[in-house]
Amino acid sequence: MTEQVLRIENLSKSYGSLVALNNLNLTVNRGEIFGILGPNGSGKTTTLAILLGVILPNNGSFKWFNEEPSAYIRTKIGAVLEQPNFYPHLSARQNLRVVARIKGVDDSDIPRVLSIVSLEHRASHRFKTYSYGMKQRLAIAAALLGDPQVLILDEPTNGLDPQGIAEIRELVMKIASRGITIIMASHLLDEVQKICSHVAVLRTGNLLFTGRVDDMVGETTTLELAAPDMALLHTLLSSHQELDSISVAGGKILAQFKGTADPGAINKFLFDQGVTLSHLTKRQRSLESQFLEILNNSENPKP
Amino acid sequence: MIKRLLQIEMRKIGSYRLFWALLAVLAAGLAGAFWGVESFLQEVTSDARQNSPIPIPTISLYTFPGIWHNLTYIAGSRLFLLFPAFVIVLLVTNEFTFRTLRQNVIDGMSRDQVVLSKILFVTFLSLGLTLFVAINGLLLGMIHTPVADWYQVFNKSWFLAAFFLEVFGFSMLALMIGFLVQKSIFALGILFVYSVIAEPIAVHYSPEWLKPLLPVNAISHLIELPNSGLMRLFGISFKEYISPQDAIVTLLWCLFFAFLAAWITRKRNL
Repeated sequence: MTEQVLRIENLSKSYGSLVALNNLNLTVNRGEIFGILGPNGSGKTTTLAILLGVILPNNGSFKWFNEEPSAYIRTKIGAVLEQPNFYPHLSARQNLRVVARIKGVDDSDIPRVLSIVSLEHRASHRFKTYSYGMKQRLAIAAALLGDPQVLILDEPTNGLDPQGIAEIRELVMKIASRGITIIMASHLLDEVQKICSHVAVLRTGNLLFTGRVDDMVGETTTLELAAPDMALLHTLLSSHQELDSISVAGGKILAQFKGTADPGAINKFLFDQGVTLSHLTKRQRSLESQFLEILNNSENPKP
Repeated sequence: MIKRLLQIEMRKIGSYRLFWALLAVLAAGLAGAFWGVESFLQEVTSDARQNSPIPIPTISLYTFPGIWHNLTYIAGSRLFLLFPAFVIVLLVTNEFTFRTLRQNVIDGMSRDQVVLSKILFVTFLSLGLTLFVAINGLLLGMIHTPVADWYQVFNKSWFLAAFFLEVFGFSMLALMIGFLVQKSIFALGILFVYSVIAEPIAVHYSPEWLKPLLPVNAISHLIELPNSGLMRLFGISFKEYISPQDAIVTLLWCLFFAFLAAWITRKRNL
């Protein structure tokens, strides 16, 4: 049986006339790596900030572990919201001691979380001497204090160099492999595709899609084709009933078919018409094109 | 819960150099004033003494039980009260500057707990300062009082309680301004301008009944100028007790400051 970690109902937030979040409904179950995807200003951080008690919603409600939100419930959730916030004059260890006391976690857990993010050797240095990547790692360490069942990360790789990004992603995967539910906001499609199992797509405060990442990919199939007679190939493909769109790129034809078109059947269809392919590749549709499509559809709804 | 909240605040201080430096300057200033005030007064009054047609009685500031009034009056001067208040403004506004207040809430403190933990820290700091004054008083008094029994030593020691209330009240004003304004420079400026300039002017133009009700005025009237031998000679006499009205007005203002800080913190997005 799936266990609900979070349920959001009709959540709305506006700042004056600006609607930051419009009637959001979402459910996150135990063990999911849940991505909240959307461009900047789509309401991702607002959503997380409401869930963590720092922004007050205008409307709607949410429940953590089927319980009403409370300060106590938040001690069971690890969260990094926007940039890492710590006392600059305190060392990493002293900062973690503050968090540990707030969360009601014993200080003996501090070495464990420091070693997870590989900061043991810098633990006694003041926070203000840290590089941005180290600050980000310390924030994750603080979130891991007390081994919470849910980890919330907001743009965890924002502002990091490629090595830092790789480190954080590896860390998130490592944490997720231990069965911890992760809720992660990101504007990077690639990141969500690489890390997440489930996704919610937001745009200007509206939920456009929610479900498995796998379900989001694969409504259409894109084939990359080439043949000695490109003109004939183009004509034949254009006559195919299941064809959705066709374009030419880099000396190859990109043909998008509705549904899950079988490349074998397409090949046979072309061969029967007298075209021998010199190239045929099935392209996994990236989340990016899917994402852009969802955004476009919502902007210009199809009749 | 009180222990947990106080522990959180103590851990936030940790090795915060600015905090400890401010406290050290305050402690040095207080000790310097306590131990130097008598010789200073003797120096400035020596002229008057020589030219006086009648002898001015000399009473040491440091004898029990009058010492409690004398020392708490010095320690309760605006200059010294501003120190702990500045420390509180700094600690409160830091939480906004570093966005750690937001983080504290995310990590599992309620908004009320955030305010309460700071109030507890104000209480703790005020108690610490009172203890510091008490220790100095005991030492100076024992050195300068020829014979003293326990009654004489602790009679009038309730001036210490009044001093605690002065520090607590003034620091609560600072706490409220800190939560309200959020920016350290503005908060420090407002605290200074209000307590040193604005309220004294307001007091000047207020009707009589209103004067004792204004917060800084009420706080600073808790302990009035001790009557010196010279003043007695001229028949001037300030009250040598703590008026319950001043204490109640101060406590009511403290309650108001606490609720205002909590209310604004509950209401806003962090």
